[in-house]
Amino acid sequence: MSNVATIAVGLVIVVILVVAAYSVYRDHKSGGCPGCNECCKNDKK
Amino acid sequence: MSIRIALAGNPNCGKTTMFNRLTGSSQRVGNWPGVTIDRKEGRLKGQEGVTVVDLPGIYSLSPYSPEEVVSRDFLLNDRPDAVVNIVDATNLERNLYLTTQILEVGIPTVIALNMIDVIRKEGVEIDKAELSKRLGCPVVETSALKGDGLEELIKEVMAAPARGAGSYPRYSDGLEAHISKVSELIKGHVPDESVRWYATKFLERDSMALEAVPAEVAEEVEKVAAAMEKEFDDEADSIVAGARYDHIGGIISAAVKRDDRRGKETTSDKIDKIVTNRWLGLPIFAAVMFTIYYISITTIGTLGSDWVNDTLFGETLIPGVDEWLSSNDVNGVLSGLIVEGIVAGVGAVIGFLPQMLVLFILLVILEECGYMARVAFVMDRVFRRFGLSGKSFIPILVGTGCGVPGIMATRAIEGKKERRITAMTTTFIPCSAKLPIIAMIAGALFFQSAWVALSTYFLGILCILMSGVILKKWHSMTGAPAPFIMELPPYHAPGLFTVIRSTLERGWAFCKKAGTFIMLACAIVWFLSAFDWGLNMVDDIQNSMLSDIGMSLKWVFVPLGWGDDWEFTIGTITGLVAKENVVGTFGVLFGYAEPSEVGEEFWDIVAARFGPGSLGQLAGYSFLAFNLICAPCFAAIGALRGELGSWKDTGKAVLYQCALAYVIALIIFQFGSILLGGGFQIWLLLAAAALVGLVYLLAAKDPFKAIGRGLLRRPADE
Repeated sequence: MSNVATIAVGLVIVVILVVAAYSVYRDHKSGGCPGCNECCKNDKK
Repeated sequence: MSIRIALAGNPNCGKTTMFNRLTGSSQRVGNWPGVTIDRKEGRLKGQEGVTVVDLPGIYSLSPYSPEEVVSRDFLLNDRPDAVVNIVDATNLERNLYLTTQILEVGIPTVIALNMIDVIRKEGVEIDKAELSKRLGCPVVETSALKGDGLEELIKEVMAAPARGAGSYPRYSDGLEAHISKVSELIKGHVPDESVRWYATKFLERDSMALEAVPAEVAEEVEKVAAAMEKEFDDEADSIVAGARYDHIGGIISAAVKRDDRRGKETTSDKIDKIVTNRWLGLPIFAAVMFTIYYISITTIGTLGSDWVNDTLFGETLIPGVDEWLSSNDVNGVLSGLIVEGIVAGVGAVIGFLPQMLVLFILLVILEECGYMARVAFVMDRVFRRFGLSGKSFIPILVGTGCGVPGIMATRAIEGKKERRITAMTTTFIPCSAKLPIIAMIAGALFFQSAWVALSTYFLGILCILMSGVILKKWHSMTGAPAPFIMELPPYHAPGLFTVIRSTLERGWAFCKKAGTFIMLACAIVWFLSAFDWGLNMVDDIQNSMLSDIGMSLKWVFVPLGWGDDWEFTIGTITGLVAKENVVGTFGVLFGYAEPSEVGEEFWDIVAARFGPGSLGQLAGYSFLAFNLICAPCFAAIGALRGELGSWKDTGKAVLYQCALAYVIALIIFQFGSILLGGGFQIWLLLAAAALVGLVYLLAAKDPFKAIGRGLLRRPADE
C-alpha cells in the first residue's frame, strides 16, 4: 500500500510541477507577463 | 489655385469630427496617446483645389511629444495657407494656450469656437466679436457634431490667405522688451514671418528651435534669457507660460460671461484646492497612504491573514496533509517535499493574500476616484526639482501593482533621458510581490505597525528622487524633464464592478504566481536544504547544500547586520528571481509547516534570527530596505532590457540598483546601530565612506546642465 500511495502521490506532484513549469515557461515566452493585466488595461486606455 | 488648410487643436476638441464634416470623409482618424501619428489629408467639400490637413491633437508647439513635433514641423516648414484652430469652448483657457502659439507662427488663422452648443447649455456666453478683436483673427462659432457654423467657417477660411496673418498676442512690457532683443538677434537666421514665434521659443529655451540658429547666436540669446530670469526671478519657460496665461486670462475676463459655471466652484475644485495645495498636498498623501497600510496591514487585512495562517494552514491544511501522508505510509522524502517544501513555502506567501486584497481594493478606489491623478500633480512639484516630472509618477503608480507594467508605462514619457531614469528607478517603489516581505518584517519585528509599510513607500520615493539627481549627471542620462500636462478628471465614486474586477485580477495574478513560480522555487529550495552534495538526505539543515551555498556568500551581507545567518542570504538570492520567494524560502527554511513548539511560531523564529531588541529590528529593517531597493525580479529585469535597449545598459542599471540598495541598508544599520547603543563596528567606517560618496554624488555639479537646458548641442545628441 505504501508503495502505491507513494507512486500515486509522486505522480500527482510531478504533474503539478510540470504544469507549473510549463506555465512559467509560457509566461516567459509571452514576454515575462506576470498576468496582472495591467499592460492590457493600459493598451485599452 | 490650390490652397492648403491645416486643422490644429487640442486632443478631443472635436477636430476629427470637423475634418470629416469639411471633407465628407468617413474614414477613421485615430489619435492614440503614445503612438506616433501622422497628418491626414482630404479635399474640402464643394471647393476645387482646397486641401484640408488634419494635424495630430496637441497642447502646445513645443517638441515634447512626437505628435507635437509632427504638427509643429508642418506649421513651420510646410507653412499651410491658413490654419483653422479648433478651440473647445468648454475648456477655453487651456485651448487658447495653443492658440497664442499658433498666432505667433505668422500664418493666417481662423478660430473655430467648437462645442458652442454645449457651453451655452452650461449658461456661459462668449462674446465672439470681443474674442476676435482680442485675438486679432476671425472667430466662428461651430458645432462640428451638429454641423452648425461650417458654412461661415469655410467662407472665413477661404478669405484668410488673402487677408494675411493677424496680430500677435502682446505680453507685459518687460517680457516684450526681451522678445524684441531676441528678435533682433535672430533676424536673418529664421523666416521673417516666424521671427516672433522663434523669439518666444528661444526665450523658453526650446532646444529644437535653438537648432535653427548658429551656436554664437544661441549664446547671445541665452544671455537675454538669463537676464530675463534675473529680472522676473523665475525660470524662463515659466515666465513665458505665465505671460501667455495672463494674456488668456485678460481675454477670458473680457469675452466670457459666466452665469454660474465659473462663479460656482465645483466640488472637485473645492477638493483640489486642499489636496493639491502646495503645503498640504504631500502631508495629505502621506496620511492617505498611512491609512491604507493601517487598514490593510495592521487591522482588517491582518484579521484575514491571521485566519489563513493560523486556522486554514496551521490547524487544517498542514496537519491534514501531514496526517494523510503518514497514514498512507507515503515515502518520507515525498512527504518532506510536499509538507516542508511546497505547502510551507506557498503557504507562507499565500498567508499574506488577505492583507494584499484589502490593499488592492483601497489602491483601486484611490485610482478610480481620481485622487491618484492629483498625487501625480502634487509629486510633479517635488520630482521636477530632482530632474524628473510628475509624468514619472504614473509608472511608479502602476509599479505599486507590478514592476513589469510599471517599467513598460515609462514609454508614455516623451523625454528619452527621463524615460530611462524612470525605467531604472520605478521598481524602487514596493510592488505587490514585495508586500509579503514588508508584512512579514512588520509582523515579526514591528508589531504589525503600518509605519513600516509607509516608510518603505517613502524610502522608495526617496531613492527615486536621489537617483534622479545622480543619474542625470551621467553622460547618457542628461536632459531637462518635459513639462507635465495631465487633465485632472472630476472626482467620482468608483464603480463597484471596476473595483471588484481589478482587485480580483491582481489577486488572481498573485495566486497564480504562488501556485506556479513560487511553488517550483520552494521545491528547489527544499531539495537543496534537505540533501547534501552526495545527494544523501540530511537530518540537520546546516549540513545541506543550501547551507554551504549560503555560508559561502553570507559575508557579503555581514556589514548590513543580517549576514550571520545564511538563511537571509539565501532568501535574498531567491528573491532576485521573484520577490515572493523571500517569504517562500523563509517558509521552507524556518519551518512554516512545522507544528509550533514551546509557543514558537513562524514569525517568532524569523524575529529571533534577526536578534533581540531594537538592534534585531534594525537588522530586519536593513534586510527589508535591501530587498526592496535591489535588483527587481527576473520578469522586471527583462522588461527593463526592453526599455533600455541593450543588456549592457540593463546590467549597469541592475548594478546601480544593487549598489544603491547596499549603501542604503549599510547606512541604515551602521548609523542606526550607533544611535541605538550597538557599539562601534569596523563596518561603520565603510558606512561613513558610503555616506560621503552618496552625498558627493548628490551634491556634485551637473556637468551636462547647460546641455540639459538645450543651450549647447553635442553631435552625439543628434
